[in-house]
Amino acid sequence: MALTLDDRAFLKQVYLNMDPNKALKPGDAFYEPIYDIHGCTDPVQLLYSGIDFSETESRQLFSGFRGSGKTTELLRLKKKLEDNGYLVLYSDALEYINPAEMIDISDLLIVLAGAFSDALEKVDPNIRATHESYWTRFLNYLNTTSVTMDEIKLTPVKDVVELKFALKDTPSFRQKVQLMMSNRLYELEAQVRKFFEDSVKAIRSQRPNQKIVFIFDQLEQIRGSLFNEREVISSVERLFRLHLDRLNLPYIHAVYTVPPWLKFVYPTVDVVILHTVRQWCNDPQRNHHEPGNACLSQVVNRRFEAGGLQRLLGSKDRTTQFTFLCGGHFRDLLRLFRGAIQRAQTLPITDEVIHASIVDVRSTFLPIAHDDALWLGKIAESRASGLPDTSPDSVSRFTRFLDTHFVLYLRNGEEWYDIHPLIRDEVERIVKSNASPQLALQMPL
Amino acid sequence: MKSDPTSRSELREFALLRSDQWHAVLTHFDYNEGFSFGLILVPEAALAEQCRAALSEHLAKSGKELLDLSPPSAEALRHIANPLLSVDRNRNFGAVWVSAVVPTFHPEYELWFAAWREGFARLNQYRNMLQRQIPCTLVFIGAAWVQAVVRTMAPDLWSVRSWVAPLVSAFPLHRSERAKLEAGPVGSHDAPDPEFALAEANHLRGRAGQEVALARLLSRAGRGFLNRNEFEKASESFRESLALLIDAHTDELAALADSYAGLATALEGLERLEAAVQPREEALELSRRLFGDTHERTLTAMNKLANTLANLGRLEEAMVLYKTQEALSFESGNKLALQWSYGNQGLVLRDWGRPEEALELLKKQMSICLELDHKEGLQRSYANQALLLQESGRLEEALDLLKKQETLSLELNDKSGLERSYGNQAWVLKSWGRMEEALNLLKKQEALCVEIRDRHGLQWNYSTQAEILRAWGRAEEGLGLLNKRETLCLELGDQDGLQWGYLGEVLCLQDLGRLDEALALLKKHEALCLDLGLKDGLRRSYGSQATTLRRLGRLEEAVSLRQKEEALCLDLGDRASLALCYWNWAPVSEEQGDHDTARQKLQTAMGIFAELNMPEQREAVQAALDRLKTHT
Repeated sequence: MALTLDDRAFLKQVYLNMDPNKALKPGDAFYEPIYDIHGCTDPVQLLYSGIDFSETESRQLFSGFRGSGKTTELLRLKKKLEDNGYLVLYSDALEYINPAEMIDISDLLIVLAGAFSDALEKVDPNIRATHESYWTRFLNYLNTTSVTMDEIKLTPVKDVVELKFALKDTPSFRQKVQLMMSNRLYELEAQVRKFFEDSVKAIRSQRPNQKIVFIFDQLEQIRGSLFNEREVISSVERLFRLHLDRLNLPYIHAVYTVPPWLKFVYPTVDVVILHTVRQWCNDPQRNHHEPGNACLSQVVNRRFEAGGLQRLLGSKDRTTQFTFLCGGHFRDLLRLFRGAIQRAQTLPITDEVIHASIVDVRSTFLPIAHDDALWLGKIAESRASGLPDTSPDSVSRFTRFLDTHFVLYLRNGEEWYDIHPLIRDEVERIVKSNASPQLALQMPL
Repeated sequence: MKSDPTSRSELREFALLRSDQWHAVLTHFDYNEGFSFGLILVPEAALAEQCRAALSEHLAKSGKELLDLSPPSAEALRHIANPLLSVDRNRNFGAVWVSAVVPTFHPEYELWFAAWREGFARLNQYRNMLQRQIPCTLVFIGAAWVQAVVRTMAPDLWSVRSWVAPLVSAFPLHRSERAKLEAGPVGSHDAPDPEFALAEANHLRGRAGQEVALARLLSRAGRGFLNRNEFEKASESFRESLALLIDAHTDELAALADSYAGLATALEGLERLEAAVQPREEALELSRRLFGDTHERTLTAMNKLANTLANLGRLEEAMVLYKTQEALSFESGNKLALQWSYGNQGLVLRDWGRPEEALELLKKQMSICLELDHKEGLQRSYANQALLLQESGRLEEALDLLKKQETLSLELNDKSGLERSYGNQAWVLKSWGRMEEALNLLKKQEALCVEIRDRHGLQWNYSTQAEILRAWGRAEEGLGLLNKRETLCLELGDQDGLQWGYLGEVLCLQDLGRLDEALALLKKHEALCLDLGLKDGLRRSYGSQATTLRRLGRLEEAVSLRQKEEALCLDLGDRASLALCYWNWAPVSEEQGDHDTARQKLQTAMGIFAELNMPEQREAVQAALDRLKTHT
């Protein structure tokens, strides 16, 4: 039977509930505690413990591949910390840094202090480290040095705004600052540290004993563009390899989101990485891991009012047609549902609608390049990364697999990898065709 | 959006915009709130334009606007981030539309490919800003290859995609049609003589109490006209028959069902598919009431309704009916109806992009037909399997099946099946470069199309033959065929086909040195493009006219047309064509003795080619410049 107005209103609400791009705020009814599964490590708990056990200050690195729920989990961490009496300051790195440009420790230190200064003012304008913001302090510092800054001729009111803009979007200005600071790095670092110390003192004067956490989000977004990807990745790698300790902030627990590939190029660095919900075991048959699947079903259930899932699918059991294929990724799961809702012409939806949605989501993974399929085939077989080396090209390619969900990052005790269920058949087909003598003969052509 | 398509190209767009996939896209706009990112994949720019118009119309219903930020040139696409980040948040936009559809065979494909890559690479860093800046759905429209470009070049943006809608598989690549399950084969000798039936009917007109009898005769005449593919006349007869039966409040439900079914078939013959749905539904309902669910007539009516829906692109509804028919046929042990269902389900699966499953079902159909020795079904199964294999590039297997189809069609005297077999065999052979064999088959197909009055088939046949003949240097013969094709396009009202046909004819005329005629035709082409609002076609027309005029020594006029061409290139933002225009302009100025202008045009062209990173063209222009220096 055709859809009634009420059916369409119902479908619209479910469609909105299934938005794959909405980060969930703490306490959101849609949030499913996926890391509460027995035997699963909660990354937020890991970060929280890292902070809580460190008393005065610490540095936490947090990461996850695209669509793994970083922002949602970071917001959960913020809430948990606040509930336990911490003062949490949050800042979005992309408001200060151009992710398409190379980064240097001097830029980062300046930006960290400036962002902290802004975040503090937002949380409590009455707390101020000194009579001036960090930006004003830094501008004064620049003006008292012997460097000529033709780029910024500012009015007293606009100068800070223009300074931020120039740091972010004027490469020539940033390069001059980098050049100037390369000889004064210790001076800059000391100045920044002093600023943090002053800020903490000011906070403590009004909120005695309160612990402070500074979350610097989106730093992992720095990855350059088509024209400079290698250079930018190298600059980030250099930053963490040479200057990691400089990211420790005095009296502050600093949480940075960092690129997930850091663990491949710098294995000794301690990064908490979000893993995919595990739906099967690391055995040749990929036997179902029921708690994982149950958890994903709950992710779905939470987005429906009572009876809603039944109304859409007819039977709750049909949920598995989507959950088993989502690879443990929420966005893929939500996209599968959305695709079906878009096609629904009757309620409950038909098998054809479910199938059409699966075909659509699968097609977004295709075509798979021949060489990629061979690598993916090895991952499926060995359940290991198969990274041949840690050169920027290899790391970038493997990261692309993880970011596009071709490859899943899984953990149960130890970490392992597998390929997305939606591409298994296609990868197998390409791998098999590669093994056939006809194609082997064609290769020299 | 047109509701009553008449030409084949309109029909294709018509089907596309009624496909499940497009319906799903529109549903997104009904349900979504706030920012989202979607990607539509289409094979050609004309269809993107249809989609834009349809979406615009759809949004207008809820008082929303579509903001079209489609780049006028590849250069603009490289910097697409700028206009996107300047979208006015306060306007009531329902969609931001960015379309640049360039198929891989397009002469400027590489230029646009690079532009898509660079445009998305630049855009990727602004994902969060886009989410904040654009309060509605951001839609990109490109050819199928764009998906991989976005995935690779803009991984952050890709990670927040809402949907990807490939509208590619909604229409076939080459000629083949859904299996039709009509009452009798085309050209049946047992069909009624329509004129005779009408003459008999005329005796009954105006006679009270004879309405039902008159209706039966009219229905019979209709079936006779259907057999001759005279659909307009058939439609008239069935309509009159139905009006009489309804007015008479008859309980002759079987007659009513026949007339509804006949009318639907006639409307389908006239390509008025939407209008055919209601009579098909009526026919099915009447059959159910009369004969029950599992009766062969009910199963046939169900199958025909499903076919109509499938041809309209309403595949999901069609599939539900095919499945029902399958279950009922199975239940009643009706293997004949079962094989129809398998065959038609296979075609829907093909449209859904599931060729392997489709082939499976067509093979099931084949087994049943072999078991029943049902040659009609077998012939269709071979034809449709061959189509799937052709589309998958398995041409040898396809050719094998097409030959089997040919044998069976000959045996059954199914001329429609036979001409399709010849046409598709020719297509395979042509793609292998076996032109002579292809041409022979095309000649046979032509004869059959004429005999059974298949004008669409004939149109396709003429242009394919002309292509081969021109490649052989037999432009005169090619031209003759294209002239015939032109007449057919005019008859069918296919204006888009007509303007492309004109260009084909111009090429032949130029090959033959008949420049005055080429010029006259280009004038017609110009007028048609102006009518249709095809700026790009118009640009091409002016350029070709200028080239022809130069060859005729009419240099002043050539310059005037180059100026028009230049203005259009600038208007379209088409830098590559602008450079070509200047390059072609230079020899005209040179022949006018104006070496300074010639040099200036060449230098400007060279600058643009350098800017577009087209080194080969740049070198060629440099050589022309060097030659000009030597001469002066």
